[in-house]
Amino acid sequence: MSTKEAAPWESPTLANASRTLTMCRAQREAVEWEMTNDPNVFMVGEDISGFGGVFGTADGLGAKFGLDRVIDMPISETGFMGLAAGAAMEGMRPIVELAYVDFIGVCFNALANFAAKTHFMSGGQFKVPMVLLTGTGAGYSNAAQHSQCMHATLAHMPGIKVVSPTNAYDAKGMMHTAIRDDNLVVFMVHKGASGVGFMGPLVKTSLADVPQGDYTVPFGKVKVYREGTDVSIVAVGLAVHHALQAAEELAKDGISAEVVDLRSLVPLDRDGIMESVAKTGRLVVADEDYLSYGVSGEVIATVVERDPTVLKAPARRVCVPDVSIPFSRPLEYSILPVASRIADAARAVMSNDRGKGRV
Amino acid sequence: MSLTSDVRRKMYEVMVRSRAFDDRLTEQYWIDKKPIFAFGAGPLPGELHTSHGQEPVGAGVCAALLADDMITTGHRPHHIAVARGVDLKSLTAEIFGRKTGLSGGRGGHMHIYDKRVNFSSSGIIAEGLGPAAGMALARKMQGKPGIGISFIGEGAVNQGAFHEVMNIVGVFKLPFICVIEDNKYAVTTHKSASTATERNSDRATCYGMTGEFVSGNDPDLIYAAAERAVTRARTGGGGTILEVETARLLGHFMGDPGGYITGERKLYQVDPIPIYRRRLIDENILTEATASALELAVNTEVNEAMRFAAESPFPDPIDALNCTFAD
Amino acid sequence: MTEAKDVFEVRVTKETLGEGSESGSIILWMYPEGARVQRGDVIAEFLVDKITLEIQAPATGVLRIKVPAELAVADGALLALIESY
Repeated sequence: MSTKEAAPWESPTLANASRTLTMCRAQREAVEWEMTNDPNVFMVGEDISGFGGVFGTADGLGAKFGLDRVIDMPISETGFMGLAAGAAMEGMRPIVELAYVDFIGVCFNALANFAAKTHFMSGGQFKVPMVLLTGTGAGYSNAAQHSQCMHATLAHMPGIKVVSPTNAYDAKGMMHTAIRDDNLVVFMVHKGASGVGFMGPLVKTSLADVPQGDYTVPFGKVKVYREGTDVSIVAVGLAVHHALQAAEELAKDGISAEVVDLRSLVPLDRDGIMESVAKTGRLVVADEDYLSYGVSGEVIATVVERDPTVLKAPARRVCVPDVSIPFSRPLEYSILPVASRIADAARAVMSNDRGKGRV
Repeated sequence: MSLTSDVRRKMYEVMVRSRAFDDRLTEQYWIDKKPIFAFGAGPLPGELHTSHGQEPVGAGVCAALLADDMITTGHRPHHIAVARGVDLKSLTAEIFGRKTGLSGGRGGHMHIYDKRVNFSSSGIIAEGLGPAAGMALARKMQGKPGIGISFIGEGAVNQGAFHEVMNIVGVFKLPFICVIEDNKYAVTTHKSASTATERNSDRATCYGMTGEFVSGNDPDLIYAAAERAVTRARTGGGGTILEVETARLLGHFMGDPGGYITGERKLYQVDPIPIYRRRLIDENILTEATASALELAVNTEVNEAMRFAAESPFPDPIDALNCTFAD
Repeated sequence: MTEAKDVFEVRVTKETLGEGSESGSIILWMYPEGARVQRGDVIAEFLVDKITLEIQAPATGVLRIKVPAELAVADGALLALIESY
């Protein structure tokens, strides 16, 4: 250490206390920190050591930690999910990269029947602390097999924690939380909001000042992005950003929308949902997953089960209407929960517009 | 280790224990399931896949292992669990769904976990392969001893997981053994009808692994082959696909009379335990008297385990809500 | 106000662009105009075709941004200055 007193901007803790980061970079910092500080943390996936993963989730990690800790796998998802689960049972903390959540089908058994159930079936003898880091979402013409969210598919299975941060601060803090969690955590980041350069212009509301060093953001707490009094827009993933845009539009009409980011699907902050809806008395749920049997229904069920009398109007859902994601841009955008659809739904709720069909 | 008299006596003992265990379970299983079979009825509800006839595989392979080694198995785990030294009382209690069971009654007979002896089983075909390879990888990364062993049936090789994991084992030279218990039947489908190759051990070549095929359901030969595989794994020689021809004396599960096993195919299904007993007596490793004493002691032990289970309380219903997540 | 002792330029180079690409663009400035940065800090992400590159501060000092994000820039373009005091 130099004895010369550093100028404020030369001290890393002061000058660089935080920077504006994309989610992708922020979560990667958390991975890097954990790998540096815990020898049991390692990463497996396809094309990660040199290429950094299709969505840059492992950029630079291979060079820093070597091929023994950033392990490129053959295209064998069921094999390496099982491998990771077994390593986790023996005290390691694997982070498995699955570029597209759509591929979950080829490894669902290893996740849902093995990793998710082992702690239960063993009566707590074996823990499976692993993170599945995966990209979700549509909006860039990648069609039906590379555009899904599958929030509900994973959240439905007992034993899996499912989180989906929507800004860089949360992405880093929740990644620390995920890696330190003793369970299987599916860490979903919408590709369109992750901040990967080639996905197009950055989603500005996903950028955030991110501190250096480690910090955690707990699971199971909603984040109120924007406070409002007339209607709660409860959203997950990229739909949160659409909701923020919708709230801007609604403000022009004199409607005060509260935007609530679920952040974590399992555990779900039912109190947080209730608190917002009880305040506004109106509810729109926005989710880029399929409409039926999903997160949106779960949010509404939460309100209905706890106290339906808080609702001044029927709740509305803005989701993908139970069809596959189309390729062609106008087709695709017609079914995504974009700001205009969310705003329309909010207006409909505000006018208590019963029976005019689904938005 | 080598095939000493002690090892052989131990293997015999393990086989007898496993058989006595399965025999007692079978008796319990049929209670309240006759004359009309009801899956969930009786003191032992659910599916039951006993290991009658496959005892040599568990005994032979496990005798060649050390305490640090890690085993995953499938839906027919009793003979391997017993050979591995899974605590017999808590194992039995688990199968009876009692609070004192290994998993407090959450698992049942297909889902046997005993961390104390690095043992786990799972009911989905070929699902234990990846985890066993991962356990081996973990130890390698941690610089700790221990190899991964996964037991599967001959039908499981037709799962994609088999191909994926074997290739990964080969690519990363993991200290791993895949033991294929070839009892000729995947539920009711004969190996010849499901599998395009006669010996799955031949597939090892494709994965950069060593393949061995052991005929005859013979614990001595199984032990010797397992020992070779273990040595390879411990000395950086890579993985082994060890296929063992064994016998399934009963149906796929209790209640399957196995009527489809006919003609020549019945010849395979020979009880290995009396054969081994005779051999050990002929070779003066056991006498009629010491064998009988051993059998009596083992049966007593198994009966005690059954009594322990039967007398154990059922879990509190609230326990269904525990253990989904680790805190 | 003190005069800057040295001014370091951050420019697009042929190495940044690689072979076969004529331009790229800043995706994100991680620090605001006038922020104090340290030598080696990643100050921006720069996109060339599908590849995201990191732009590092060549010196410790104050960041002066010369090109906004999402604008195409070619070889030689001045992206920023770092004023050291």
